[in-house]
Amino acid sequence: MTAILEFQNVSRSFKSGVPVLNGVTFAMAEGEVLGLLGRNGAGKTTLIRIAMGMLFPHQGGVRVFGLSPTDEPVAVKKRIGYVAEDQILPVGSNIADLISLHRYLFPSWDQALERQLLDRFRLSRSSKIKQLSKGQARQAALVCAVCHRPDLLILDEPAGGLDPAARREFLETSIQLLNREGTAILFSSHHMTDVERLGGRIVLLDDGKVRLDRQLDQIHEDHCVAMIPRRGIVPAAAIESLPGCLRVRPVFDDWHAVFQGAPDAVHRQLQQSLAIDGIRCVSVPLEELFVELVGNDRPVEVA
Amino acid sequence: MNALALTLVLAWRDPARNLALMIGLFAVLIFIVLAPYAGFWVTLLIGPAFLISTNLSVPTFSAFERSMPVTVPQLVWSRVLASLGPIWISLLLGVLLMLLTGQQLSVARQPVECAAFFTAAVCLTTLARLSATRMTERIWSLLALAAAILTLLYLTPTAAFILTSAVLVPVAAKFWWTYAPEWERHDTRPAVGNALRPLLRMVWPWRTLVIIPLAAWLGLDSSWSLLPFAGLFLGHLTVQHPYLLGLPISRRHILWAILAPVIVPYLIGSAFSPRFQGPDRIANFTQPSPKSSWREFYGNPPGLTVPLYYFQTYETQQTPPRIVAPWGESAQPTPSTATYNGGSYQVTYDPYWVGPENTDRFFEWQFARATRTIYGKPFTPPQLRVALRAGLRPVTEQPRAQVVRMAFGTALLLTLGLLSALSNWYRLRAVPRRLRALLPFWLPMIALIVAATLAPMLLLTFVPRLLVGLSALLPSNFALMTLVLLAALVPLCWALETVFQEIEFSDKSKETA
Repeated sequence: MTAILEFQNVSRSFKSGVPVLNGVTFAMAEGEVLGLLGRNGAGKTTLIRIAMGMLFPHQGGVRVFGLSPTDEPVAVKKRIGYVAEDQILPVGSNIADLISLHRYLFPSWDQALERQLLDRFRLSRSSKIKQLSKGQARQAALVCAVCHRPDLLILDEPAGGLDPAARREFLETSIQLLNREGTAILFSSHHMTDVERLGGRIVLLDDGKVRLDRQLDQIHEDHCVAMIPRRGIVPAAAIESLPGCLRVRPVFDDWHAVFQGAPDAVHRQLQQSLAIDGIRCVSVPLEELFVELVGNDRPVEVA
Repeated sequence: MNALALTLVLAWRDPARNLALMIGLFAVLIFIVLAPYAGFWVTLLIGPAFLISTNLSVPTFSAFERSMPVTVPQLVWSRVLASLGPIWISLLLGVLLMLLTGQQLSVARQPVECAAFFTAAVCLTTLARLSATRMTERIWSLLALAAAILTLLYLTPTAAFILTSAVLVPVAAKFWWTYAPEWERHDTRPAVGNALRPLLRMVWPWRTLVIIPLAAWLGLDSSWSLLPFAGLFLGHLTVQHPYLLGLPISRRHILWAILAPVIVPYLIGSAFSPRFQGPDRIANFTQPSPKSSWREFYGNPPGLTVPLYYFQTYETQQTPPRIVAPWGESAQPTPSTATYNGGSYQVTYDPYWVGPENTDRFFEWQFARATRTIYGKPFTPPQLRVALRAGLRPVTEQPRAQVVRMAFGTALLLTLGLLSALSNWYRLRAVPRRLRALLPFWLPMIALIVAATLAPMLLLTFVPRLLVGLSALLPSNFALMTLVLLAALVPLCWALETVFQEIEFSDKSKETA
């Protein structure tokens, strides 16, 4: 595998002693689609900005196309399409100006794709940036990010502000079109439906670390949630120590534990190890799995 | 909670108070330390100009503020109070401090003028931003600018042209920005043409248009004690649009694009500064000496006003030292007191003094020494008269000194830029952020104020003397000297570029949203 993006033990904090990222390591191959998940404040945007060379890691290193994004930012950014989480386009110009700027900066600009996307999003070249709605501005930013056919597309919350129709159209046509042609895509999102639609690989950030790094298909097949009665007086540590356990948290009268493995196999393992009744194991959708993996670990009690 | 208390609470949490507090505190420091000098006026000029530009570039009220269960008048008054409260309180404290230190009540005139100008600036710009229609917004904006121009004319009528342009240029540019006709667009056009427009909008916020004339003014004025104010202009060095940062544009290009609106107008201003002022301008001191022998024999030779920076200082309680010629004849110079706006400052004496009792030989000796210092070679009075008619200029106004001055000014601006970049340099992350934030503006200002307190005359004369000395040390060939000066700037440029490569930008969209 040729890694086009590689994070090696990346740590970063904004306040002394409070790391946002704490030893993050993973790599992305050419043409891969990677969804970066995590709660608010998990460090997704920080990690993306480190990849863009806008922030410096306090420890570890990052390589994009084998280059350091801080040492050779122009060479790296020439091959990247980027849309920031809170992308605010420069006001005072219009879409045509913005496209002119990108066409000037990116010699590989694809005018046919530009026309196609502008038509699809119903964007007029003469529209002034300050008169665009939030969703339209997002669409304009996306057009600018993809029309030079980058080798790596980095999208921080790509569909934020888009209506469901525009979001689906954008994800299913534009992004997947690029991906079919070999563009690697790194995106962060809170919309699990978007993540499932794009497929590929999931990296879940929690507490500054990579909590989960799997292909989406594997996650569906190999993960389940076990609900273990708390009245059985089983300590959380005992569950966490079991092989394949990724996380345990109390929810009302149960422990909810995420296990790697098929539900039947995990159920058998738990019955043998804990020797208590009332254990249930179920496969859950990605959104449920996300909540179980990064949800609040304080006990949820009935008032 | 009653309406007044709620308004005060809102004012306390309004972000406008931070800028107001900074300007107010700065004004107090200036009153205490620099009040007798021209530097004080800068508070009146640059502070409000910056305030106006900032005020106009901030949205009226955020959606969050408007969603709160408070009335619009309460929001308006909270903003006005937040902007003016710290300024008025700071000025009041400054005046009280000055009165406690034994100054007369008349010193309060300048603070009152300053406060009145701040008040007008804040009220008019707030009204402009609250206008319901574009037309009323324009009317209030024009009134704000008219008030600013009239106040500037009142404060410094001699600098009316420069100061008025500091306001008119941004106004004209603002209107151009708003109403400029759309350019023709065809797919066959060169891509770079319209590409520049969004780029310039990102790199040069419209505040830049206030900065350009002020930077030119600093160059024209060539008063070194004012140059640290350029730190204010370089504040946006580390704040950039996130959109720009995602584009494949090198940081070196971004850096010089940001610095250009400060350095280029400054250099242009410096190039023209001798046309606006001569050495007489700063030799503003009382001098009781009649120098009768000069007048008796040669009249009042033009061009031999000894600039203040050639004067010597001495301890207040003593008399100036006697000036002794090689053959033993001496003169006792009369103390001269550098004054400004009626307040006395520091005792000095003219080292080229000639008393009524001195001989012609002593006078000619002193005249030759003075002209060597001022014009670069010794003259007799008739020779000087001829040379002046032929266009002789003091060394400080000759192209050679001008190039040295421009190089020195550029070095100072680059140093301020470096300080600004250091404030966001990721390698300095161990230093608390609040402390780093002091670097670009407060560090030079504190250094200036400490220097003004401990050695005021040194502050006024150090740089001109240094430049004269430097000019003498540099190669006599003009081209070679220019090359040497450029080479001296290279390490500074390198340091600035190196640090700028490694700064972490703040998000402009968040600052202005």
